Amino acid sequence: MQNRFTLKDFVLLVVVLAVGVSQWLSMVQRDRDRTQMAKVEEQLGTVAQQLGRMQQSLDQNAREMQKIGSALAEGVVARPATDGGAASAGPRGGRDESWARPGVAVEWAAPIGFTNDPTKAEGFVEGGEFVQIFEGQPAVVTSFRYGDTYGRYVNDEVVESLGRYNVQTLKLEHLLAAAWQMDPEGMWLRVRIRDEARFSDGKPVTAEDVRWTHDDFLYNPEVQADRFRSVTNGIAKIEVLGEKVVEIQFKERRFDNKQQAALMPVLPKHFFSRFTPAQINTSTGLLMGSGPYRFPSVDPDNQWAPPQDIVLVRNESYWGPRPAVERIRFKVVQDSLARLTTFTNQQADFARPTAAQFDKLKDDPAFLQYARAKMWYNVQGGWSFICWQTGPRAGGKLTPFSDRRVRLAMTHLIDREKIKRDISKDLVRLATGPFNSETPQANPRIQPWPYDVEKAKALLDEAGWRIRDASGFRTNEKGERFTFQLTFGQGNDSTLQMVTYVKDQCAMVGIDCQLAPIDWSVLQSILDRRDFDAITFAWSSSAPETDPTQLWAISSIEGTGDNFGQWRNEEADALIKKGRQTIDDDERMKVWHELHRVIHEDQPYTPLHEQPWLRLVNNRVGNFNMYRMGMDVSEFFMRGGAGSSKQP
Amino acid sequence: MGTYVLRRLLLMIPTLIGITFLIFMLIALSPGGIGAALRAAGGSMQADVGSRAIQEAYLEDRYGLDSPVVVQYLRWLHRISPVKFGERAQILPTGEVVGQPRAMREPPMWRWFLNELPPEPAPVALETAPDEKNGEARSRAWSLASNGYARARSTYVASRAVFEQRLGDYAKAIGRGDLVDYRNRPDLGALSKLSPDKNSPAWAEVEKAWDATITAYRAGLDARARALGVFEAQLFPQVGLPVIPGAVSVALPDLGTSFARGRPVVDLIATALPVTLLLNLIAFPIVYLIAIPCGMLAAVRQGRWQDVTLGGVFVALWSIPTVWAGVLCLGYLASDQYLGAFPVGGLNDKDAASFTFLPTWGEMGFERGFLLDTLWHIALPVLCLVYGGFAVLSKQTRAAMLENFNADYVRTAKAKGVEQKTIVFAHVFRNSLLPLITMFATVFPATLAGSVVIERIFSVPGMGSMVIEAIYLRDREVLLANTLMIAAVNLLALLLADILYALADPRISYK
Repeated sequence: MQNRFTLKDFVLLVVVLAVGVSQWLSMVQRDRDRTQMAKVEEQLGTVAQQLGRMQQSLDQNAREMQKIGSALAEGVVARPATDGGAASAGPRGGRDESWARPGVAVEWAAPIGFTNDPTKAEGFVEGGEFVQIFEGQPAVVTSFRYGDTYGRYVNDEVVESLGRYNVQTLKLEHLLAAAWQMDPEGMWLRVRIRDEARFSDGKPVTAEDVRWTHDDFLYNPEVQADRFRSVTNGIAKIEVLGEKVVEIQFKERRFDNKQQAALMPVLPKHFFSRFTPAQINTSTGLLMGSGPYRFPSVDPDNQWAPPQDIVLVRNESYWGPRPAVERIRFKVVQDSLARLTTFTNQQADFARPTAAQFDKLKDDPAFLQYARAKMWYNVQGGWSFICWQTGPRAGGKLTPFSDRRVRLAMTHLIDREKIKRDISKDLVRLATGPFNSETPQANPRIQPWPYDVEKAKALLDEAGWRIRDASGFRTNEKGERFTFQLTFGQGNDSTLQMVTYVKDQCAMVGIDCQLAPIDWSVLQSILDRRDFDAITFAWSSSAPETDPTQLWAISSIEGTGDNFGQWRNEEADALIKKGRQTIDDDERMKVWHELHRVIHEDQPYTPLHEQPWLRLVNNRVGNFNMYRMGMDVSEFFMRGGAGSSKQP
Repeated sequence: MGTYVLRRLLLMIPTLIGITFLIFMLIALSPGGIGAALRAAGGSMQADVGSRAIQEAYLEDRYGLDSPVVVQYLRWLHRISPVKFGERAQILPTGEVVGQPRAMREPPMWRWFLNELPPEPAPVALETAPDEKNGEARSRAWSLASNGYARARSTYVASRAVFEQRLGDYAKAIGRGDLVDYRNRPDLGALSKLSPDKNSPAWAEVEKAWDATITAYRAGLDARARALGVFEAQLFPQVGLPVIPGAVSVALPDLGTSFARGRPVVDLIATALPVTLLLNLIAFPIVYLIAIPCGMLAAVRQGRWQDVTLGGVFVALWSIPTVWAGVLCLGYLASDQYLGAFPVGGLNDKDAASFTFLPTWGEMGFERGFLLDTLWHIALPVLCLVYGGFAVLSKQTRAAMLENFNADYVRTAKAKGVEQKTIVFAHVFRNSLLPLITMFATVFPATLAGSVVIERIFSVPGMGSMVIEAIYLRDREVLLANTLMIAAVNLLALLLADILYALADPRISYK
């Protein structure tokens, strides 16, 4: 076949070339635009930073003036401040308490600052980026709309509340509040908000913001925030008494009223009221607060959306102690090997390894050259257990575990030290009961029940479950065999090893234990129906104090309450009721300790292990401290400063 | 041909309905049911005891989970159907589409207390319609009315949930615990057949809860009448085109909002699909460009070492599991402990947003730019997508070529002295292409589906990870939208394959 180059072919060639060249030129033009834009943005950023610093120094001046003013009013001779000025809270000396209810003590905030000041640490530098890996993809990080721990993590850096838990002492302390007054009867909390507290756009935090957040955001039926409503369900009313004074009234006398009020995030009304509920419901990263970090964009048309990395930038006009790290980046890597490779390639500073990875790396000299493997117990760590069905299973027959002796025998039968050593690689410790031992709620005197097979056999005999024939199985007087199902969530190797071990131990003493693996998505409905003999998983909490009503009260047996083991104990119930109404912290802890003892004696759960936090930290991260609350990112600094994370 | 295509297209509608119905039922009948996603999302196990029933009632009301499964399916079908019945929806200035305010559900067991339900009040017409030009005033009028209705409705839903709990207590008190499920909700149908036992100790609580319920119901009806009044004033432009005004209209399908992620499904697909398409549209041509020439070579050199080697290598590649290959790529090619030549995951560098599009040589030296950065990032995932695909395609080419080599016309061509090159390319290869074309039509839908394993290992946020997460969380809307999309594309591709057959082979015709 002969091809001749005709005019038609020529025209076609020219057209194709023209399209290609113009495409190329348009790309070049785009690049030029982009470079220009980048320059403009950079300049804008510098201007914003300068503005932030000016705002800060203005604030500081205003506070100094106020101090001088109040000192002069009292006739005191003014002297230069020697306490570092900026960190002090509210006017000293003649504090204005006209906002408070008379006759009730006012608690003023201690000077706000870091628990461990990064500027005093060795090699301190400003700037840089801290990169942390998330194991799952958060879908939404908008306040009160997020649904996972990742969303909470982001919100913690951006949004603040009136108070917070001290990361080390676990005491509730002032944050946005300059002072508060708690009703000795526990029915109200009156708060004076700090004068210097500002949102990241420079507008002050007011009492109206607190009320609006609760009444018109959280409890707005059109905003899909119902998941968070139970967290503040003790609040009856929020009353604005002045620009900076707010009173929160409670429904009933309860120990956690103050926590509920103090820990509720405060959102800027002027920002969020611009959006319709539908815009908030469909938003992915609409977030603004008064915290040390902020989202670079709060424009609803340019908000963060998955699967982008979540980037937080330092709030340059932050009212509190200024963090050193300029940017925090959260990067999602779901596969555990990819996570580890990202970390060992030094493209991330902070990651959560699997137990096996941690065990392998913790003593690896090559790894220790550039990073550390940290393990510590804190209140956010979970504890695993086996819950025994003490009531009728799914409304039917009583299980053998309705007898305390049988439950105790099961605890004696399971060698938790062995599981810890052989399955969990010593990366856990024994749990004793319903409260995480790092919390003040846990009774430190309680020791785990020992591993004692003979004791277990004796207890089973005593409860009427004896070996009566050559089959070797234990039966009761009616001749029914001791058999039960152990339900567990599948997909985790160490859980599978653990339940297999339990099955073997049971077989050893003549109990028929059948393993029942389930899919996690059906867990809730199994619990709701009380459709199990024994079930194992783990509880975790993010707060130092939890309300035991949910898990242990008799009222939680009814309906779909979370006392799914149907444990009915009058003594414990009375203690819970008493503890809930005890406002004094020390007194209440005594009640919780007593409750811990009762639960330990009766063993409705066999507590297995407490899980620590296992984390890999790059040596670039400075001032990394392990706290009982977890950690405090705002204290970190990045060695190597700006752009410290290695470029891939 | 035209009627054939039309018939096939029309037949697709019942097929699609059948497929989606099957998926819908599978989700509904699976353990945990449709609501499992809502309860399990985020693994949150903490919930307040007292408000649990109320919270569930809110969720059920919001997503319509309290209706029978078939009704839920029909509602879904109506949403995705381009043909809509009833009043047209309106579009607010914010871009939000609002339909007619939903009807109130009648309170349960009302026959025990009333002879007839309070009548539904007529829509309250707006006293002064906001100014045509004042968009803000109109938005305000709407948000006031719709917020008012939302508040009234949620109060009603909550009091109804409490009322049902009290009925559960009551049923237990009169010894009919068998009518109550584990959530303490009674079987209302069975309970309504009994006459109320007003002497029961639980009755006082039932009556109290009923009073609250009926009050909230009345308030809800009034609020709805007001919202309906604003809706009917048609303050905003309407969606779609009317066919019979007020009754039938045509509008775009609405895929709904993801339960677990709280975002419109269209948005989710719009972020995930381009990623998957990018990977597959690069991978598929590579597979074709390598496999077809190799298949040809193998056919020409049938039985010689080239044929044997290619066959052996391709089948060996084909049998390597993707999980293993992915992990090896990551461990050896991406990890700095070994080669470290490729990025670990993701689609772009973290600073990609500040890159120029094209590579540049500036003061900082060579910068790769967005284009090269993307290609570099997708190199490993594309490699994993590609290597297994050679075997099937090259074997197919080889077989088709060999069949043609033995055909009479090739012998004739050889006999009359046509060059070997011309025989292979002009005669045999062109005739062997037919099965490859039709194969492409059936393979194409797979490009939309994405690969779960590869996406997970290389942290690529594509369709595969979206769907697998939706399955874990029983995210009905995402699953149905995805099923619908894949099924429709599959059916269209099959139709396309049939048409291509007819075009390529004159012996086939459809009447």
